[in-house]
Amino acid sequence: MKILIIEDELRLQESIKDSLEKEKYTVETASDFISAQDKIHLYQYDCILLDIMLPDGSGLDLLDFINTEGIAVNVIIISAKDALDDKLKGLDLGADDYLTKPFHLSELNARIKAIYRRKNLKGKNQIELNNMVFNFQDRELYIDNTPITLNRKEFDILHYFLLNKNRLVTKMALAEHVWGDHIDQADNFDFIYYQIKNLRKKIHHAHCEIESVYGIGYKLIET
Amino acid sequence: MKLLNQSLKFITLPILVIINLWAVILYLNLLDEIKDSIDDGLYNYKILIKQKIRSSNSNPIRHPYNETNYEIKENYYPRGKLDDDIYADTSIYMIDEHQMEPARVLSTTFNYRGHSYNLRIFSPTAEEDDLAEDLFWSVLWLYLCVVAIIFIVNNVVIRKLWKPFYHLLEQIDDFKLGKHEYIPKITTNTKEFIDLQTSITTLLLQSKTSYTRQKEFIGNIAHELQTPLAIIIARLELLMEQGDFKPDQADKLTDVLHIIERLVRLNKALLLLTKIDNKHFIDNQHISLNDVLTHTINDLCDFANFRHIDVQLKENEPHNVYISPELANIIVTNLLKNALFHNIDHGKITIHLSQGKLRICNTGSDLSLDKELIFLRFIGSKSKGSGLGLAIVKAICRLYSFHIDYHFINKMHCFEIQLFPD
Repeated sequence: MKILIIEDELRLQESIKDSLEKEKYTVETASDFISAQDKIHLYQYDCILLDIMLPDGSGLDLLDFINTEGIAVNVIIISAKDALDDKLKGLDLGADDYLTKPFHLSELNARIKAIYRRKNLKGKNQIELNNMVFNFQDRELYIDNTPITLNRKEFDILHYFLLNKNRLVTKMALAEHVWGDHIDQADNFDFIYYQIKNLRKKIHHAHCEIESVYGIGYKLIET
Repeated sequence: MKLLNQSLKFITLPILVIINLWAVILYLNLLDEIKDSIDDGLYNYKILIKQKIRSSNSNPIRHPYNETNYEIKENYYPRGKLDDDIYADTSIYMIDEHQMEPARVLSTTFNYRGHSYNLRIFSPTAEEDDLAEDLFWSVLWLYLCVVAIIFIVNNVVIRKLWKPFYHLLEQIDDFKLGKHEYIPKITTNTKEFIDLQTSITTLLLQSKTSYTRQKEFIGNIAHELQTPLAIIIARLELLMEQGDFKPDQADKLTDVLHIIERLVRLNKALLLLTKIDNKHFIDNQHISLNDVLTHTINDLCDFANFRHIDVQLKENEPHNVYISPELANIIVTNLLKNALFHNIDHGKITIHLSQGKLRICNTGSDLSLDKELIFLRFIGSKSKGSGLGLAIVKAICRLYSFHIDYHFINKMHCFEIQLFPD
């Protein structure tokens, strides 16, 4: 996948680039409206990460530009602004998703993949990993062709891990993704551990494993 | 006590003093006048008596206590000039009163047929003690009447004068920074009230501006913090991913990440508070609170089960609220989250939605919370949450004029929201 990051805060831009390159994506960057516009015009991208507040213009105008030029690309808006108006405006203008800063890298990763799957890999509703088939459309899991029952949350957890395969997923990121804003207090980490424990039992026979990372998160690795 | 009546306090003493002074002066003047009148009468009488004696040929000696009221005695030691009239006060016995009463006496001497005689003419004068007593009562009544009239005039007539002032007071009462910001206005010609209105208007406008600026400031700061926080988190997550840490290094990094995440939550909560205060949420709709309740309970059931906390929806009357959907979710979520996170394992949560009130009770600490403090920002017991959950609920309630209260009953912490405006 070829991704363009349009973000004026360089250190953030770098961090996102590093993270995405770990997924073996090709990543390019732009720090202002003009250079972003140039790059969009000249090159083809699968996904654009767009910060609305640019020093010399609004990211929303870039969206306009993309629309008028008829460029086909997935756009995820990343913005510090959490206003409903901005979200609606962005989505109206054709953005595919809206992510508020600060966000977890695993969350960004999951969203990029989700949109890509939805728009570019039409018809492909499942993720395969060794002896495991994960159908996210029908919400079914098969290990060695045997159906495994997962509850709703366990399903979402596994999905998130699969989208972030081999990447660190912090407990925080996992909690926010699966339980939303409901779980945001520190004493719930035992809770998450408990959920992971149950999930591990269920996917015991799969050729992958959910590894604990320093107590701050997990990683799904192939075995 | 009202000003009108307070001034009464201060005026009653001077009035008392003046009236008393006046009464004393009146008394003395009256007495004086009476004396003068009587003295004139005595003089006239003296002339008549002398005439009568000269015209009759009888013995001039007369005793008092006859039907006449004068006395003539022979003067054996004539001295001084003739016709020395001396007026004096004395007392004579009054038969009807059976006692001595004050009188005026005119003493003079005259010669008749070679003898010198003392003539004393008496006339009862005003009974001073009676006069004093009458005057006292009159003065007292006068005083009371004056005070009463002042009181009545103050409260009935002058009240009209003060009307603009009270009207202004009413409007100031209604003024609520951030909600009802209508600057008080009155029509009046009274200079003091006009001045007062000007001062109040200036003050309130200043408050408004300062308040708005403060809110903007907080909002801007929170906003600015988003990006640096995003950078920190991204960097830390990448760092953690690099791996190869010794356990204690990993611990330290983990700690830092946790604290940053806490900062992020705090910042988000602060931003939310700012938005609520700024009346950002104007998308009010008729929301079924029952749906929100059920939905939220569902979302949190995993965590409840994990802690073995029994969540009971005891009363669930249909109830619609005209509110922004997002805010409705936040109220219910925050209250339920608190009920869960401040609970004990195998604890209990009861929820009642009836008669326009939402009540959520939970078991937990044995001590009652401090009602004043819990709704203030940043006060939380051992919670590692943002500590702003309740403050946010309170801000939303304030926005819609819902009343929220806390009670500690039967060892349960209960939060109750009245879901219709006061």
